[in-house]
Formats: sequence, structure tokens, C-alpha cells
Amino acid sequence: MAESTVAAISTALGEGGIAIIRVSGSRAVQISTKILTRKNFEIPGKLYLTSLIDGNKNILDRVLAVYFKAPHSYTGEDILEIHTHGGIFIARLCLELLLKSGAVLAQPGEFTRRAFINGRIDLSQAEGVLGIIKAQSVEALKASARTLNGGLSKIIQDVHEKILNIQANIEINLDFPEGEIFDGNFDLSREIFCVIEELEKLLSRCEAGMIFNNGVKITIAGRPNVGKSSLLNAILEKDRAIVTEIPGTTRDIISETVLINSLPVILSDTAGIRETENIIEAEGVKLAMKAANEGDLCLFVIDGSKKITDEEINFINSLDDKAIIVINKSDLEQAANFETALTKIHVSAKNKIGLEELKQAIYDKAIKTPAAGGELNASAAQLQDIRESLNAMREAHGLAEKNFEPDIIAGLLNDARIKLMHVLGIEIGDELLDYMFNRFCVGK
Amino acid sequence: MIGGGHAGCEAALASSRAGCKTLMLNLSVDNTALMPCNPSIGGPAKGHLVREVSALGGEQARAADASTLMIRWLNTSKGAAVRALRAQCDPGLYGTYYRKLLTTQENLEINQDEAIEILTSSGKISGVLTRHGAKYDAKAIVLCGGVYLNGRVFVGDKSFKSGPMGQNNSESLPKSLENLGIKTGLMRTDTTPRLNINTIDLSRAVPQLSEKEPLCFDLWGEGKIYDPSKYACYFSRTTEETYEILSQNIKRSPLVTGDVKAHGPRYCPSIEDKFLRFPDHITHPIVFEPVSLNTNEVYVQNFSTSLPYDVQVKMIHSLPGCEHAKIIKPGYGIEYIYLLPDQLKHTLENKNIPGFFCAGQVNGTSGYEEAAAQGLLAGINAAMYVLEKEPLILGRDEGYLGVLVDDLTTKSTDEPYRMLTSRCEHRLLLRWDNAAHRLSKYGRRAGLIDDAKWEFLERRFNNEAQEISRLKSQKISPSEKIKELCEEYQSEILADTMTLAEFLKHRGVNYGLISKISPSEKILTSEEISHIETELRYTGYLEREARVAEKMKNLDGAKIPEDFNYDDVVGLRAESLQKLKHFRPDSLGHALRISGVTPADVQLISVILSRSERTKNKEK
Repeated sequence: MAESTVAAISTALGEGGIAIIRVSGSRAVQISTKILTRKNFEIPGKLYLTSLIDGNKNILDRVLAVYFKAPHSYTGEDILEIHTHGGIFIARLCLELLLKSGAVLAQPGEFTRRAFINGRIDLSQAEGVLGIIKAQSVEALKASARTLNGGLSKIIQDVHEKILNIQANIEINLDFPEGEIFDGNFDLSREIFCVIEELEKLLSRCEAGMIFNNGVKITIAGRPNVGKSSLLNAILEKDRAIVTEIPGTTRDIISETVLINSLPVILSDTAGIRETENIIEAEGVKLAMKAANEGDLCLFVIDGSKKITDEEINFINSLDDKAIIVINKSDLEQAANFETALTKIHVSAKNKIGLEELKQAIYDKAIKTPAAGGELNASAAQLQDIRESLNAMREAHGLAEKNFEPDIIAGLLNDARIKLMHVLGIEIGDELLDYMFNRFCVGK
Repeated sequence: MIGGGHAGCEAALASSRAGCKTLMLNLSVDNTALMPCNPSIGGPAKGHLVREVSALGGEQARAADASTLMIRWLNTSKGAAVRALRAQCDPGLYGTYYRKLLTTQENLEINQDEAIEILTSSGKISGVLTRHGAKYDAKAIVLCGGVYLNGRVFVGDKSFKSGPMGQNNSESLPKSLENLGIKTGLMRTDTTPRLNINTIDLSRAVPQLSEKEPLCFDLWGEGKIYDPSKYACYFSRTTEETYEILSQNIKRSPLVTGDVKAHGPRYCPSIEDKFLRFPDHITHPIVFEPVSLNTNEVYVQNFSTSLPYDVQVKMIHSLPGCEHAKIIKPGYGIEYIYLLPDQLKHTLENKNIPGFFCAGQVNGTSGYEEAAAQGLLAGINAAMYVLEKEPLILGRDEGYLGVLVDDLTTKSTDEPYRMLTSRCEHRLLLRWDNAAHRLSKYGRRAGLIDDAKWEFLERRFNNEAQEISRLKSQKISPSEKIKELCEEYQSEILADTMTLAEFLKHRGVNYGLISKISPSEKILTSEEISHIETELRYTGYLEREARVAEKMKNLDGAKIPEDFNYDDVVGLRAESLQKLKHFRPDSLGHALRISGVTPADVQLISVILSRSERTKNKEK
């Protein structure tokens, strides 16, 4: 039986130092290398240092990876293990990337089951295997019950019902072609489009909800020599243990991660705003502006001991509520006078003054951003189902626009619907037929 | 074979053709393959089943072709997966076709008698006792009892023991089934009044005529064009007056009085069902369908009823053109017992009584097509059981018949089960045009398809494969001539160099245009062309669907032995354990489809399965 390639986080959930994500199956290497900078794992059993990258080739973490060649692995299949830092959130991110790249989420106890099926575990241990599967599925059930909060469940039910309605409107005419025209005003393409909009909204809210899992991105901006790097280092110093440093990569970003009240915060500084003699002031501000817009939040740093420049004033005036103004060098005599409605925090990066206040401000801001306010908490697997549902709807919409045959469109709607049922944990049953016959008075 | 209806006829023919000595016991040989309801065969899903029966070597398609009065394509613009034929058939001719076959078939005997007791020995089928006092030994029985078991007819507050259309019912067999420990349930279905066509003014209805192209159901048949001047159906509507009569008399319906308790079919509701469930629909569409060219009887489609006779007369008179209509046969409801189908394996054999097969309405289905398809499968499998050969089990991705049987065995049913295209998750793979490709190999293996028919199919498959590979390899480039042809066909204009197969996927391009641009050496039949077009146009979707189906197939291929002990599986949840013990699924896939059984449960079972496998290997 050809089994799919599965992935899961293999270490206990928590904020521990290292997490292991295990990928098992014939495509383990092929899938994993899509999210790692290293493409070859020549020597099985050897730990390789590599980097975790997202779809845009952004480096997310420095990781260790090891390849176990079938049959000499835990499951007896090809296995690739990725060891990440930074607690659970990077691990979750890594898992999500793997699922996006074609891996299937492992069932509870699946690695052990595969190990057993492939003869890696002795017969006498079979009972133990059953125990593991059972224990893990109970745990997973509890975890998913926790995850699927009322808000998310209600919205997904709602969208599911809408897709069901569209599908039923097609199916009823396929199965009862000589019946009445049930709804002459039914605009298929439009109906599908409305659901797509809702799914997109849902998805972005879930993604916002992922900030507690995946972290909030903060860009540090400011003129040269205002002390951005020292500020960065000052914030990080205390929490060095769970931080990783990735300098000098493709986009030349410095990314550092820190937990603030268990909220993962990814601080980044860009090369464009790093002290470089060649960059004229205006250019620097332009780059800072661009960077500020890319993050979830922006820390705009100014040198409190110097007079504020016109460019800085303009820049501050252009910032929105997502920004915090950090007035550095509070240990020196203050010369920067300006008015702003934005949050202002005085710090001294050098003397470690005002840092706790700044962290609190970051935390407050992060959980109050509009996106996070409507946050929905979904797991990586649920997010993946929602995405696939959305993709099926988009494909259906494309076909509906082209007046494609409804048998195929209805099939795509069904796929989209089943993905949502999966999120809800509902089994596929007779819901379509029930809906059809409750809704439509059918004839021949 | 107990019963000579649509299921019984197919079962008897299949088993005797597969090489088993077969006896059919029929309550009334004159009513062989009776059509007591709609005189029509086919439609979406049902037509697919007819075609599958044909592909497997059954006879329903040919019976329909031999009795067709008019025939139409349905869903022509809605996609290849749901396109299907429907024919109006003369029930007399249809039944006669089967009777001729039954009486000339080698290995087959038919006898007008009623089975009253099923005999077993050591828990296995051993024979039957009949009303006439005969005792027949048999290794296998196929019960195709239709709606005859404890049948009870309702016309308003009048009710009496009866089979359909005034036939005798069967009351002894249900007792025998009960003694065998078989669980049964109660079901209901209704039919419409039959009117005298000479008493109706059809000029006020809209005629619907037969297609102008030659058509037939049978894979090996020759399509025919039916003369529209001889036969038509007539579309009309119920009136506000009908609604008034219903409002005043609905209280007299046995559905409302509570005399009838069983569930009726939701997809084919009686007129009073519609009135009760959709009160804001004042009028409903109906169709006058002449039953035969010889009997002057008209069937009123969408107008089934079990209201009292006097109400039926009033309602009929309220229909357009029916002010003076005479009822030849009144409508009625019939309540009957069926055998809960979750007692069946995928072979349609009872899980507890080896050699006892069931097919058709006794399994809780409705429809001639659903019955015939099951009959064929049960007939083949009864023969395979007796001959100790491999049984025929169809996957959900192989046929509507596979879906039907899987639904019955994994979900059971409490309303008459009708085949619908929306029940098939792999609908794109289960098309009219590829029935032979999917199924004929099984019919051939069972001995139901002779050499000549098989060679015909091989030629067809060959022609199609050759043409598909030609279209996939041959490239064309834009030219003035092609542009003109595209304009003539009102299709997208060829813009780049591409293969003929790729061009076929463009809007408005069909095989006709392709063959104008680059003719094939062989002349292909319209069936071959339609198959080629669909395979190429739907390629991406078909491949994706096949991949999804493949996953399920792996699980369906992991068989669970019949004597598997679920108590051995430590860790199953109590609910799952109960469900699994009740259904005793035959594969991991089947287990997963049972409501309440989770993927984790299936994993647990698979561990135990592979443990016993490895223990066995070790012993070897």
C-alpha cells in the first residue's frame, strides 16, 4: 500500500528550546527541501546546518536537519527531521510550510503505526503501539476541541451552509433535469464569488490569529546613528537563550526573535536603513517607510539628544497607529521636541532604561492591531483545509465565469465543502441530499 | 431466484449464464418484469445504472430498447458526467422481452409458485419450500421479493393485503425470514392514477417528442429513431382547484390519519406530500405519459397519491383537459417490509447466512434500474459462491452500482433508496460513455459476455486508444483554412501551434471540427467519438479524480477477515466498537466510511491486521 508522506511536530508542545518536526514517507526529502536552503542530504544520519525558508525565500530560522534513509529509520521509511529553535511557534510555522509543500498531517500515532507496519517495531510491542495511537488521538481530540473556538466554528458553519446551498442548486438540476427551474435568478458565478470573499476574510482572520503561534513582525526604522542596533540588542539581551541570529542573507535582513509575555515577536532591521555613509538622508527615510509598511508593527527610533529633522517629522506624520515612536538616548540631554498622537516611549538602549515599558507597549499594540482584534485561532492543519477550500472555490469560480459544465463545478464545490466539514470535525453524511429535498419540491 | 421482477430476471439470467443451474420462482409468470409504476427506464443516475447493467452483460438495456416508445437525452449541456438517456417504454413489450429470454435460457427453469420458507442446514442455505408443496434443494438463494413481502395497499381509509397493481402479496416468507433472525423494516411508496387517454383533452398540454437522432441503451445495440407522430408525452400543471381539493381533503390522507407509518421517498413525493411539505407551492408540474400504444392508459407523472378514491376523482377532474377524465386504475400507496441492508456484504450476500443473497426493493431501494443492477450483481455473486470462484465487488469509483451497494451496506436506509448522481463522489469517472471501459471485464470474467460481444468491445477500445494517441501527438498551426472552419463552427480560433487534443479543450471546439481540420483514417461511431471527446476535454479533472479515488482504493484493498475480532483491538472507542461489530466492514475503506468510525480507529485495526499478517508470515 503506497502511503502518503506525512509530517508532524514530534516533540512535546511547550516553550522548550528545540522542537523536532518529522517528515516520513517516500517524498520526505523532496518535500522538505522545498522549505530548506540545503538541497542535498548525502550522508544519512548526519546533522546538517541549514535554514528554514518560506515561499518567498525569506529565511525564518536557522535549523538543523537530519536524513534517515529507508529502511534504517524509526518508521522504516525515508525520514527527514528538522530541528528548530524558538519554541513551538517556529515549529508550527515549519509544519505549516511542509503541509503547503505537499506533506499530509500525520494522524495521531501514525509514525509508530508505520514503524510497526514496516516491521521496525517488534510484534510483542503491538499492544504498546495501540496505546500510543489511542493516547495521541485522545490528546489530539482535546487539542482540536480547544482550538476550534465558538467564533471560528460558527463562521465556518455559515460558509459551509452557503456552499451547500450553491451546490444543491446545481445538483438538484442535474438529478432532476425535467423538474421546475428552481431559481431562475440564481447567478452561480456571483454566489461563488461571495463565498470566496468570505473565505478570504476568514483566512486572513485566522492568519492574524496565528500571531500567537507564528509571532508578530516588527520593523525597526529610523535615521542612521539613532541607535537602532543597540536598541535591538538591548531588547534581546535578556532573552538571548531563545533567540537566533540570521545575518547577511538574500534580502539582507537582520531578524531576531523574542517572547514578550509569551507572544513571539520577530524584530527586524533592514540593510537599507543600516548605517551606510553612502545613503543620503531622504533615501534612508524612503527605505524606512517601505520597511515600516511591511511589518505588523513599526518601531520608529529617533535620537532624543538631537533636534528632530523635517524628514523625521514628515515620516512620523505619515505613520499610522501601528507605529511606536522610540525616543532613544534618554540618558543624554533631550533636544527633540515634537507633537504626535502616536505612542512615545523614552528609552536608553545603552543604559537599559525604559525597555520593560517598551516591551509592554509592543505587546499592547500587537494584540490590539485590527487584524489581531478579530483574530480566530486555528491550527496549521485547519488553516490548510481552509486554504484548500478557498482554492477549490476559486477554481469553481473560474469555470463558472467561463460557463463550464456544471458537473465539474459542483464537484469542486463539494471538495470545498468537505474541507470545511473537516475543519468542523463533521463526518460526511447525507447533508447534501437532506438539504436538496428540504429545499426543493422535486418531480420526475 | 425468488421473484420475477426486474431484479429477479437479471439475477436468474446472470446465474444461469455464469454456469449454474437456476430456478426462478415467480408469483405470476404473466407479470414477469412488471412495471407497476412509471413506464419509463433511465434518467440521470438511473440511466447510468442501465448502461452498467449492459456493460456487465445484463439485459435491462436491451429490454428497454425492445420496448421504447420515445427516447431523449437529458442534461446534454450540463456535462459528460451527468448526461443520460431516458426512454418511455411499453411495459407489455418490456416484460415479453424478458419472458422470451427466461424461457429459452440454458440452465434456467421458471415456475409459477411462491416460496414460503427458506431452508438452511448448518446455518447455510439449503433450499426452499413452496406454496405448491415442492421442496427444492439449492446452495444459494437470491431473494428478489420486491414490495410483495407483507404488502398492504392504501387508498384513503381503505386498505387491504396486496402486492402492487392488484397482485398477490407474500405473507409466509416474512415469517420464515424472521425465524432466520433477519431484521426487517417498513417502507412505503405510491403510484399515480392511470387515466383513459380518450377522455383527456391533450391539446392544452405541451407535447415533448422523441430525439431526432438514433439512440439506444445497449452497448451493442443499434440506435433507432422513434416516430414522433406516433408517441409523445404531454407537460401540464395542477391547478388552484387541485390545491383547494387537497386542502379540504388532506385530513383523509393515510399519511395524516397515521394509518401509514413508513417513510416514503423524498425524491418522488406524492401530491399530498408536496402539499404538506411545500404549502407555498400552489401548483405543480405534471406529465401525461401514455403507457402503451395499445392500452389507451395514461400515467400521470408527479401525481402519485394514496388519497381516497372519491378525492382522486375530484383531483383528476381539476387537471387541465381532464374535466371528464375517467380513471382506469386508481392511485394507491403500498406499505411493505424490506430487509435492513446493513446485513449485507458488498456481494449482496447476507453476512450471517452463507448462500443467502438479496436484491432489489427488498433491500430498501426503489426503481427498476436500481433493482435490475442489484439483481445482476447478486446473480453473478450467487453463481460465484456456488462455483467457489472470486466474487464481484465493485468500488465506489467503478460504478453507480458500486456506490449503491456501498451506501446500502455502510449506511442502510429508512426511505426507498434512489440512485442519484449527487451520491457519487467520483461522478466524473462514472460516465455513460465509459461504462464498458469500467465494467465489461467483470462481465466477461463472470461468463456473461460472449466472444463476439467481447471482440466488438476490444475493437472499440482499440479505435478509441488509437485516435486519442493520434490527437495527442498530431500538431496543427494556425492557417486561413482552419480559421474559416473555426468560424463555421463558431469556436475559438486556433491561435498557436498545438496538438489536436489541446485544441479540443478550447471553447466551442468539438470532434466534428477536429476531424474537418485533420480527418481520422477510421470512421468512428458516435459512441467512440463521445468517449474520445470527454476523455480529452476532461483530462485534468479525470486524472485528479482518479488520484483521489486511488487513495480510497488502497484502503478498500486492505481487507478485514470475516472472523476478525474487534474486541482484540485495544483502544477502540465504545461507539466505534459497537458500530464495527454491527457492520463488520469488509475492508479498512469500508470501515472508514461507517458513520462514527474515526481515522484513528482504522489505524488501530490496521495495526492488528498487520500483526496477524506478520504472525502468519513467521509461521510460514
